[in-house]
Amino acid sequence: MTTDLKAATTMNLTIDVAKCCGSGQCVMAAPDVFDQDDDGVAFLLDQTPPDTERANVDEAIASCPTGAITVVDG
Amino acid sequence: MDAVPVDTDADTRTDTSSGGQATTADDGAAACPHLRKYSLTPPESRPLDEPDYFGELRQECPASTVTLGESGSSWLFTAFEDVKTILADTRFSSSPLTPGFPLEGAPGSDAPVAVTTMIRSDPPVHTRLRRMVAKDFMPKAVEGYRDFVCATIDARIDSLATLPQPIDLIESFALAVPSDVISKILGVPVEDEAMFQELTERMTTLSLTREEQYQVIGEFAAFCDRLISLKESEPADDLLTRLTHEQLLTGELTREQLAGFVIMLVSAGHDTTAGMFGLSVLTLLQHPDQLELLRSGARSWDSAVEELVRIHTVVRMGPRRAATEDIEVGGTLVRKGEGVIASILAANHDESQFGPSRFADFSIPEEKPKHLGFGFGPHQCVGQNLARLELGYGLPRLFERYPDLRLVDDDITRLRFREGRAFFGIRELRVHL
Repeated sequence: MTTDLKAATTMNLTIDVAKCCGSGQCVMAAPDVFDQDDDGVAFLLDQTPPDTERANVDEAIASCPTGAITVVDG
Repeated sequence: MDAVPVDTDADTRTDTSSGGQATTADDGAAACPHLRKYSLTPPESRPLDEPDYFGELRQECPASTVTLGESGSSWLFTAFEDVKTILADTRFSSSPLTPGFPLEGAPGSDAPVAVTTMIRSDPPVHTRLRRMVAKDFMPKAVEGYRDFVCATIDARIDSLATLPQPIDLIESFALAVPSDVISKILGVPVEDEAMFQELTERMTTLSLTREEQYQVIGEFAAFCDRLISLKESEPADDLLTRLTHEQLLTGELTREQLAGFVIMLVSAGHDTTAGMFGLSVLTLLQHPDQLELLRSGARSWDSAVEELVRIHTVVRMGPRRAATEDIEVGGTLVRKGEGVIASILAANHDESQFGPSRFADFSIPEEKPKHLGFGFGPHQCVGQNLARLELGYGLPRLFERYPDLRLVDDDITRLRFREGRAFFGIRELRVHL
């Protein structure tokens, strides 16, 4: 079985929009991965960001006040 | 000494409501041996530091019990991880109407107008209310405010040079800038700024009785009601117009709820940042070595702002919560119906998380501290991005424009603080430009 090298090195992100309080801390930490819609609710610009975004995504997860972001390593 | 911020002895009410009666996890064990009255009074010789007993509790009893006012008691959590855990857990209710909520020492938080606001609501109501304004304070919205915020700050800084010296930096700058900014965002006429400053001052005065609190909240609500009427008849491009037309006139908010919303945004929107401006200027003037690190670029203003927010933590009353079920926090069981104070001041001084926290030891870290100064969880400060913009632009501009800025009196034990107020701050800071 072969594994796609890119897929193996990327993260798979989800946002629980019901939890999101719109503080925008994820956007501050990783602006290429997260954005906010017209109601301030966060959404993903990139669900499987490259590992170069790992530190920023970790920061976004740590600073999210409601724990709305989860990452599944691909 | 001159008065210091205190929230004890403030409650002169005689009603029978009480905070939760705290129990220990191993049920039936003796009450916390550290039981004491909840107080925010700092050491007399170190008026800018946390009370000494916070440090003792973090080491010996991070889940302690305290008495409040005449009759209440509450848990007091002082360790960083515990406080963060509580604030993120919505099973801890923010509503003063939840049984066990620690009301004593926070008079007026159960006033009918106050309990409808988002800071006193739980999901799903909280979520709905927060989304009405979250978009106005998200990073890209705040970025859109940058030009006028910077222009407002520049104008206030320039105007200082026209005042007779020495000047009081609190009135002329620290309070003025955040008032100008939130007024503009909300759409409060400039001529009403002094009125809402006075109403906020009175509303956040902890020594008022419950009746007096209700009275001032009623006056504040009436003031906001007039503003709402103005926005109905004369719509403008501002937040209050938008809330009036999108939420009030569509039935999403009652008039009382909208008034409560405005009270919250107006008071929290200027008094907290005002406190931080005064404390920050004082801190940097008292630590010229740190100011030099900023001037040379060896430390960033971003880090300085976060460290200043951390060590000063101007919102010191709590936050307060009530457990809606039995919940274990760091090995301690909080039972349903018990009140909790999750002290962000104590958490922000936790030795296991941060470097030195005493005012005398102020030192700007290379990395921004990950503090709880804006709270945590769904109630985390909605205006934090705006506060960072104001402080992050205003502080460096002030020190650039007036490089010889100096205190009239270097003795911090003679400073006058805003005594008995919900938000910590300096009452008067006299400086030469």
